[in-house]
Amino acid sequence: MSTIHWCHALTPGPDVHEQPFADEHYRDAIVIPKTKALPVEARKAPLPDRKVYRSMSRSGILLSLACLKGRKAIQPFLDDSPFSVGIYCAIENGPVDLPSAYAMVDVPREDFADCYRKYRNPKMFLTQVTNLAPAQMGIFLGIMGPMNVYNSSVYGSVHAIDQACQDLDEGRVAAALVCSAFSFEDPLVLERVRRWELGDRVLCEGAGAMILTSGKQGSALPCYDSDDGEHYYGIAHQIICQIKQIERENSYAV
Amino acid sequence: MLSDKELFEKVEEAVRAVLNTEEGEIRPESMFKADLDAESIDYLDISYEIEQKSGIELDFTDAMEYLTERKGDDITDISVQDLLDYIKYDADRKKDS
Repeated sequence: MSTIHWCHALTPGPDVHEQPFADEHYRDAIVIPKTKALPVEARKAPLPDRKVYRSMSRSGILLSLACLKGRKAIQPFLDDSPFSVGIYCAIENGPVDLPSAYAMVDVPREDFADCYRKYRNPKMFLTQVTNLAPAQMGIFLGIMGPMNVYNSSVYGSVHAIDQACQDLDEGRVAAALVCSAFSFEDPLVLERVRRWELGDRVLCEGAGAMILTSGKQGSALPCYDSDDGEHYYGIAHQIICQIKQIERENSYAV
Repeated sequence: MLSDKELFEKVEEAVRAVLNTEEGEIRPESMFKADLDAESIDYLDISYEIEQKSGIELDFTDAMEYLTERKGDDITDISVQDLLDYIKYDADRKKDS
């Protein structure tokens, strides 16, 4: 049985008001009626590398912000061995570069290569690589253990938790950093969430991180349906809901 | 044709966007690697950003060849002024041809 050694969730506070989401490129085709975004400006995010925002998706930046809060808690495990800490991350693929795609609509075939070179930001492909976000976060924290990344949109967080618990049970890692982040960067993901999972809930940006250990200290993981029924955090939903329940109970040991 | 001041402002804006430096941190004598912490992929990003902001096409490979000729084979870092010099040289070359 794994226990939570530390956890932190980054979610919109009470000062963030609900508002509809619309994308400038899809306009009225995609509108999510009730959303709350995190008031985080990617460029100004306090990360160890100031220029990294150019090559990280917004979800990746939120992920690092949440995980970096746990630096002190994870340091003793890293001091023992940086290879003994594993990363178990649920995160979506980075978004398509919509401004450049929009600029290239209807470009004649013979002009396409030139147009692509002109409009395609050379670092955009980095933001689209799913593994890059947790890898960069691992570099920030100095984690060298196994990295597991899940991008199943609905169950990614569940898979991350399950694998972390299994690896802890079998002694493959001494601590597991289970984390996830969800942002409003990809309107197509939001539309899919609206159609299939959202219901009447408010769609929120968010990120969560928890350090699991196999020791007895700390609190047991709540069940997966620890859900307030009002908010939905995309791929990060189950991890954030677990952290929020733990925070409500205020029962984890740091 | 942009004046020297305007050209610096365009380049400074592009470099600042890519390297996320503070306003005023980039000066003509600033070295890309030593002072601004730039890496090779950042040069590509900077050339993209300069083209987006000013329409100036910038080929860093060509720029490095030009600067190597001027400064010697052991060049490991270039300054913002070096880049401005190359952009002006390239513009003159294109105008002549």
